[in-house]
This record gives sequence, structure tokens and C-alpha cells, in this order.
Amino acid sequence: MSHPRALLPLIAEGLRPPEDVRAHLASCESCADAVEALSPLDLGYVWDGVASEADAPRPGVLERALVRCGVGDGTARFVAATPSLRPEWLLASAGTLALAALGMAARPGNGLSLVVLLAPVVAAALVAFAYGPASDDAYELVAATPLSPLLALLLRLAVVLSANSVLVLAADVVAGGPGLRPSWFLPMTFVALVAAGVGVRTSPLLGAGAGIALWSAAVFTTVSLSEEPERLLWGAVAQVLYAVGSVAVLAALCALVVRSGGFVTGANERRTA
Amino acid sequence: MRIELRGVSKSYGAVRALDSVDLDLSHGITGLLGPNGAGKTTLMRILATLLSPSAGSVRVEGLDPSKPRDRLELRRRLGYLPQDLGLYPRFTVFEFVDYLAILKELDERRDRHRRVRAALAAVGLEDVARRKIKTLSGGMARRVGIAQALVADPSLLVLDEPTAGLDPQQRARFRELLASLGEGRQVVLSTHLVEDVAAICTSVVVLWGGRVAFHGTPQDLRERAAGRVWSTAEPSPGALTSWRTETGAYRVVGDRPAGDAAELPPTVEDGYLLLTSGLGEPVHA
Repeated sequence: MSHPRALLPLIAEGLRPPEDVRAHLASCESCADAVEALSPLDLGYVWDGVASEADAPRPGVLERALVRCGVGDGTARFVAATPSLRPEWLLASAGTLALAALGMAARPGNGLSLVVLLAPVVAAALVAFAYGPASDDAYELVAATPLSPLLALLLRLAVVLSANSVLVLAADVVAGGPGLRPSWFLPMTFVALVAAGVGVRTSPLLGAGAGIALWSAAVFTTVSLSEEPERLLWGAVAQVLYAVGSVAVLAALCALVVRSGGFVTGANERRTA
Repeated sequence: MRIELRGVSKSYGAVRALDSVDLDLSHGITGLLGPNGAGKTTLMRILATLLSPSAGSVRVEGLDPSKPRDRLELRRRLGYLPQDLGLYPRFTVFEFVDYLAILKELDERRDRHRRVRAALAAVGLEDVARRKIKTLSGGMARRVGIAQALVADPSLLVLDEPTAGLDPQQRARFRELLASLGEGRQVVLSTHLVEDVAAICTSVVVLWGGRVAFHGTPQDLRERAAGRVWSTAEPSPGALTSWRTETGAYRVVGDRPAGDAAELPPTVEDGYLLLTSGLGEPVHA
């Protein structure tokens, strides 16, 4: 039998071919390929799509929210995998700030704002556990992928600092404060970046400890030595110092990550040589 | 894929983990053998572009991992399984491998999911794809690590202790998989298990105290023990090693024991034992 070329488009559209044409199609690879190519329905492709949807992991709340905001799938998954954005971390941070806010609301106008004092402490803990070999279980695997290490670092820092800022802002409003103000944002950022820098090089616990110790020392020193601790801690000069310090620490951290090629090893790097 | 190391050294403070390593590796499966602290993991991390040597040069298919652009290109071609495998316990198996596939720039969702399914099937995990990683056994978690290394169809596979924690059946299956993967790509694996090397590797590198003590084929290593393996009725205290086999006779590796002794065909492990016994204690500079 000669090739039934005139019938092939109709067969591809669903026409049931006569017996002799069916037999020919079964034995003629060229005609079978032509029918498959003409068919509007690629069953293999359709099946891949069905399986893809069936297997697709259900994204968490944060990942879904990020995707809805236009963030790409990959970036959203990477951000959602941040260790210190797990619900227990956020709940603990929110709980700490809520207690401070409620205490302030119950006794308004009683000296330094506890929320503002606590903002850098909570941020130091969250940021120290956001990125690095000791806080991210899959750090070594991720470091060996083409993902830019600098982008990874900045994404994690930005998202965790943003999450912390939202919590502090809400707590400040509950406590009767004005909400967003540089008095807590800049010192929080500076202390958090110090914690991240020390945490990446050593361990997240040491990083958080270093940030908290630094802030505590600043607060206790100013409170004990000055009649106006607010001016020293949150005045214009202090804000400039926080801003300059934040830029300097962030630059040093970025340089460390870039110089290491994305695999920053801590003090225990010899462990598995 | 061709890997060239020239005078590669790596120091951690006063400890030298690698000392002037020269190696040329081409297509096929290379097994890295050596005791703990020999420098295997350091060498694997250098090949995986994670560590830079303190001295010397590395080229992988002409690419220099010390240059950011080359390093990025190498990471696109790389599948890596670290010795200390870290996974996210709350992710499902599929979700975790999919996550790494995203980071490996497999952007098209349908194709990426197809590759994830194929990688999970290759390591026999397709039935547990929706299980949380925290519910898996150690061997299954190791297979998740192998699946993520395979998912982007890499041309260079660097596998640090891939069979650690696998049971004998899983190891046999993994050897089959690796043997098929070794065709047309470069696989470098480190292991303590000499039988893994004997079964699948086309070349063997023995590291000792951070230096290359041997580089050749498994047959070459086996031949080092030719005429040095014996079967005797009595243990041989002066031998390098001797143990009682299931037949009741003693298998002796070393010089010919006194009394009746029949020569046995050597294994790769015999060759390794004889090689390393002549090297003395590993010394880190």
C-alpha cells in the first residue's frame, strides 16, 4: 500500500482509519510519526503536565505570599527555606515583642521604650540564624549550585530584617509609639548585621550573642553614664554611626562571601578533612 | 570532562590537609581511597568548587574554579553529594530535590518535575516522594542526596561517601546506577569501602597524609599484592594481616608464612593493605 498522505491530517484530528490504513500505520514508521506530529494532542506532554501538578509540592504560606507578590518560584522557595523564618522562630520573636508592647501599653510614659530596646535583640537572633554553614542544613549543597552567593546572602538578610521590622512596627504601635521611626530601625539593622557577620564566620549562637552583648553594653553604658540616654542611643550622631556601621559591616560580610566563592567555612572547617 | 590538578596544597592553619597533589583524571569513575584525615573531603570540596587550594592550580575541562565566571559555569555542570549531607527535615522528598533543581537553574516547571521524578526513580525513592524527610531512614536520606546530585544531568559528579549508610541491596543498586552514569561523564567518589572501588571504578587514587600514594587502575592496585596472599592452616603472627575464613583456613596477606601455604589470587583490598602498610603513619605537615 502506498503512503495515505491525504488521510494523515484527518487521522490526526480523530478520524478512525480504514482497516488497511490502520495496518499500514502499524508498520510504517514514517506515517506514524507524521500522524503524531500532526496531532494537536501530545499525550506525553499532557501526561508530564498532569504528573507535574500532581507531584508539585504545596508551597507554604510565605512562599505563596511571595509568589503572589511577583517573586519568582526559585527565589520564593529559597527565601521560604530560611531557617529563622520558621513559624516557631517568628512566634517566639512576636511573643517577646508583644509582651514588651503590652507592658508598655499598661504603663505608658515610663522612660525608655522596651520595644525599641528589644528590637535589636530580636533581630540579632533572627538574622544570625538566617544564613551560614552552621544554621542552614543544606548550606553546602546550596553553595555548590549556580545560585549567586551574594544574592543568597542579601536575600536572606533583607527578608529576615523586613520580617523583624514588621513585628517591631506592630509592637511599637501597640505600645503607643509612632511605629516606623529611625530610632529603632538603624540600631536594629546595625546590631543584626554584626550578629550575621560573626555568625557566618563562627556559629549562629555566637553571632546572636555578640550582637546582643554589643547592644546591651551600649544601653547599660549610656543609661548609667548619662542623664539623657535617649539622646546618646538614638540621637542624630548615634543614627549616623549606626548607618555608617551598618554599611561597613554589610560590605565586610559581602566581601567575605565573595572572596570565599560562596562557601564560608567556620572555625571547625578542618573537621572533615 | 578532564580534570587536572597541579601542585595542589590546602592548609588549615598549621595543618596541611593536601600536599602538592598532581592528578589527571578523564572520563569514567575515579575512586578516592584513604583513611580518615587523608584529605579526601578537602579534595572533593576543591573539585566541587567550594574550597580554593592554598597553592597550586585546578582545571576542570579547561575551566579555572578560582575565576568567578568559570566557577559559575562549573557549578552548572556539577552534581555534588557532600559527606555531611544536610537536608531540610520538614520538606518532602520531592520538594527538596525540586528545590535543589530550581537552584540548579532548571526553570521550566514541567521539565523540572519530570527530571525530579526521574532522579527519584533512579535511586528507588519514587514511592516516598511525598514523605517528609524527617521520617526517612539514614539510607533513604542518603539516596535523596544522590537524587539531588543527579537531577540536573551533570557532566561532573563529585560524591563524598555516597554509599555510607546504604544497606547491601541499596549499595548494589547504587553501583549499577553509577556504572551507567560513568559512561560519558566524569564521576569522582570517595569511600572507605575498597569493594566499591573494585566493583565500579575505572581508576583509583589512594591519598595518604594529604599526598597521592597511588594512582592507577583497580587492576594495578590488585597486582601489587600478587604473590603476597596465602592460604594456611595456622594463623601467621608475622603477616601484615591474617584472618580465619569460612573454610577454616587462614587468609594471610604479607610475606609467605612458614609451613604449608597455598598462594591465593589477590583482591584490590589486599593491594590497598599492602600499599598503605608500606607508607607508615600518615603525617600532616
